[in-house]
Amino acid sequence: MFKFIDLWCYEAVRLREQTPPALDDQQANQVALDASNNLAKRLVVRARSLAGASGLTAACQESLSLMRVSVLLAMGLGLLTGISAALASLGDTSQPVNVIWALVSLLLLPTVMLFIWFAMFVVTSDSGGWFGRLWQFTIGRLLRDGPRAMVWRAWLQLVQQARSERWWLALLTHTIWFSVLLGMVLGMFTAFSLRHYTFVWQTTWLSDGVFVQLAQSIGALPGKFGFTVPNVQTIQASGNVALDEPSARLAWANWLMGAVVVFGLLPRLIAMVTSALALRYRYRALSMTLNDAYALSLGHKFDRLTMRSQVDGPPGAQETWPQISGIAPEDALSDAAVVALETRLGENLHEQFGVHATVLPPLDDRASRKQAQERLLELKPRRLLVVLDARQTPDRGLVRTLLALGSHAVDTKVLLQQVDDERARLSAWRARLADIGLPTDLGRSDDLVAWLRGR
Amino acid sequence: MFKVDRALQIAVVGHTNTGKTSLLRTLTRDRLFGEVNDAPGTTRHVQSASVMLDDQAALVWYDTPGLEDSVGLRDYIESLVRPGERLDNHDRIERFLADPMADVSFEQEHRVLVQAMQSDALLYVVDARDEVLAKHRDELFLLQACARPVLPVLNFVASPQADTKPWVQVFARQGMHVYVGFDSISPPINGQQMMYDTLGQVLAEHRPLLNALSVSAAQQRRDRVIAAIDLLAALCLTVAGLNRMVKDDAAAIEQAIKKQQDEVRKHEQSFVEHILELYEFSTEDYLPTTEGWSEGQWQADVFSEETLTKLGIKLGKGAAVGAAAGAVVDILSAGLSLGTGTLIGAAAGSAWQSVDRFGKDIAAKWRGQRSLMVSDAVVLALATRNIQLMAALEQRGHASHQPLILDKTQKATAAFDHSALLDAIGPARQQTVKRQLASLVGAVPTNSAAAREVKQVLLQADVLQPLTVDGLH
Repeated sequence: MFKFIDLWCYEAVRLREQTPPALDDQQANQVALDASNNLAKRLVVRARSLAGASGLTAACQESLSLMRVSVLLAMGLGLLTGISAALASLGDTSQPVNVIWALVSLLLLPTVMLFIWFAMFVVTSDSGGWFGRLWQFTIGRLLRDGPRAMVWRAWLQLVQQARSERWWLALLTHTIWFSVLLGMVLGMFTAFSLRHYTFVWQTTWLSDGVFVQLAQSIGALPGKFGFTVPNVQTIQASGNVALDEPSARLAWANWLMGAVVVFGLLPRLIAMVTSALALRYRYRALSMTLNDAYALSLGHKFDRLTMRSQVDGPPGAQETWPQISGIAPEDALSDAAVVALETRLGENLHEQFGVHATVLPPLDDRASRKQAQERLLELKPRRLLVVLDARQTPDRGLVRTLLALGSHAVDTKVLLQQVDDERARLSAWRARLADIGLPTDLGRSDDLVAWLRGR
Repeated sequence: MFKVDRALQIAVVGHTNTGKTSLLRTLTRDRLFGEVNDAPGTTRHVQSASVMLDDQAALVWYDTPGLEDSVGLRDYIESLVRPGERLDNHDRIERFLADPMADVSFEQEHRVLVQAMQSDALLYVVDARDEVLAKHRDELFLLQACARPVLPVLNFVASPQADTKPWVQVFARQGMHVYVGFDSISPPINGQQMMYDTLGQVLAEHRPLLNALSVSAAQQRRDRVIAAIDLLAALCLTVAGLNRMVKDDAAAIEQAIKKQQDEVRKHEQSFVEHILELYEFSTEDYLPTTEGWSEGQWQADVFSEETLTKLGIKLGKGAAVGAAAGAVVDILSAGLSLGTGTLIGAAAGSAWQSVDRFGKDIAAKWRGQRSLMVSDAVVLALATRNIQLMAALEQRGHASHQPLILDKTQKATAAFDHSALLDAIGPARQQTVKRQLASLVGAVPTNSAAAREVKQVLLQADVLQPLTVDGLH
């Protein structure tokens, strides 16, 4: 479970990292690796650390306080609007207050707007009310450049991701309307406390009964909340000419106030709380997307940093090889010998070299190695040609064998076959042969035949 | 959530230069693991790489130095047996490891055998292109003497020179009937799964763990494809939504077209960089068809007729009528001004250009401006090419050195429903009041519905089908 601000920060860093130049995340990655094993936690820690370094945290704070201030400002404006609306509808004390008129002028707009909001909210999927939109628009205009723009975009994306945009806008709209209505109640409260009002209802052609009925039905619900309703006599007596009697004035003022509180303030409060609860619910359900490309790539990065890797010790030293050293020329007993080492390519050696040299059986496993060495000990050739497959790797075993074979001859040369093959490891062969002091020109077989014949 | 009690330890052993490190690079998707070189003895110490499962290390691979002189080593070990002494093979190996001279003359082999004795199982890697020689048989003898399950891996089986038959026979003679054919350069798309599943056959008591690893590998592959398609859908929508207001004269239009093309290239380049990162490759792994990676040279050819035809974008009805003419002119404004004529001229001069149609921005119309958009054909080309890229990356081993060039890959198709894609990007093209408002607010207009739809269409591409399903063997 992450706090909203963590997710916001993560989102902002995500957006930031999608645009060059890249952030230097080495330290942040390390911090994240140390913090947890869990990818989501690591991502959040990394984002927090990166955001701190790149100014996004500051931008988050600034944006947050801007949002707070703007909401407070809007609420303050709403409050003032409400107060002045209340004062305007009550008028100066020279005239009695027309209760019906005052009630309609105070409640008509907020109620109509509430219904419109509700209808839009139900019908279209993204309506959150006009105040909310206006607020969003204004903030968007204010947070337009640098890290703040990134932070704002992250906010919008997160809000959208939580499918909470309309709840947000609704919450704002209701909050502002709530403050307007609260302003009305406060205005009325102040006015009723400090000024002397009398109340009437007026009609040209309706009967008293209509007003009695109207006043009582309007007052019924507020009555349940403790707001008094003028009794029938008072209502009847307040027609057209004001009744300047304390109890009547108190009753009417109570009735008016009750109506505004119950039919204006209360529905907004309910809507406000509902939006706030819905938001809370949505954010509870909000989780990080761990399978998008960004998170996956970072996950790989973390894995990479953790998984590589111990070694068992310092790398072994490079092999040092003795130079090949043969027998002295005067010890030689025969002219030439040919042997194929660890390859089946030597099967036609007889045809190629048989006339001029003794061809030994191909040499591969332990037994054949031993045999060949014994044979060479008998032969002691002046010239030894070793046939090799260039595709093989010149490994240590091969080189050791080569050295052992060469020690029984005066002169040793190497014929690499398959040198034109794409897998021929010529450079490795050259390096190894040079190590042990064998000629590295890999020779054509014609020249080698001539060499074997002693020319 | 799988609970790992103890991480499995698997040593990768074999003759020198058979691609042990390459195999591990591909299996762990780490292109920088170890050191790879075409010379004997490149890896000179044991190096480990762990595979994570649910945030725990579940399996540790050990890359070992190559065995270079098994014939000599076997001789040496025989020489350690005193006459008349009866030692089984495992005892002989232990005798060797205890021998004070062992790590002098057979330093690398000593390290390998030490690691082998500490591991739960051994992967014996051979290059399937090599001949079977006595030294290989001796290696098998030595490894079997370690008394650990040995799973032979035939590496580079995708090569035309590979000959697996003699190898399989040798394995069988040593009593090893289970083996894996693999290729570090172009691994099977379910390569990791295959490896875990086969290991499960020789390590019966660890089968649950290996099964979990196999499942997780498949899941990761699926996640990867879907995340990549997400990015591609975003690219398509962004490019389709590019909209540049331009004054109605030829020079201005020409300039605007250039600018817009550059924008498209930049978007594609950044997309490709992200994809490469997602697939754990780097920009060294992919060579765009034309030039290199330097700024501004990026694949200028999305806008060329040749590329479009190569990618199989049909410039007929419906799909991309606009591209065929170089420009589509909104019927509403066609008769209205001379600008129409100059517009077509400018666009035709740089054929297949992006001028597609006019937006519905009424204010712009009043100011005598036109809106330039990227043509349908270009969006289709981008989608096709990058689906191919994804498919190619999915089949590329992390041991590969040659950069990938899409033209050369065999599967040059990436069929998906073109008209469905064009329908799906439709909303991004429309300049609705809501979108304009959103951009005023500072949001990047999101089309989550459109993105979902584009994603659906792209996921249906034929080459991606096998990547999102399980259990291919």
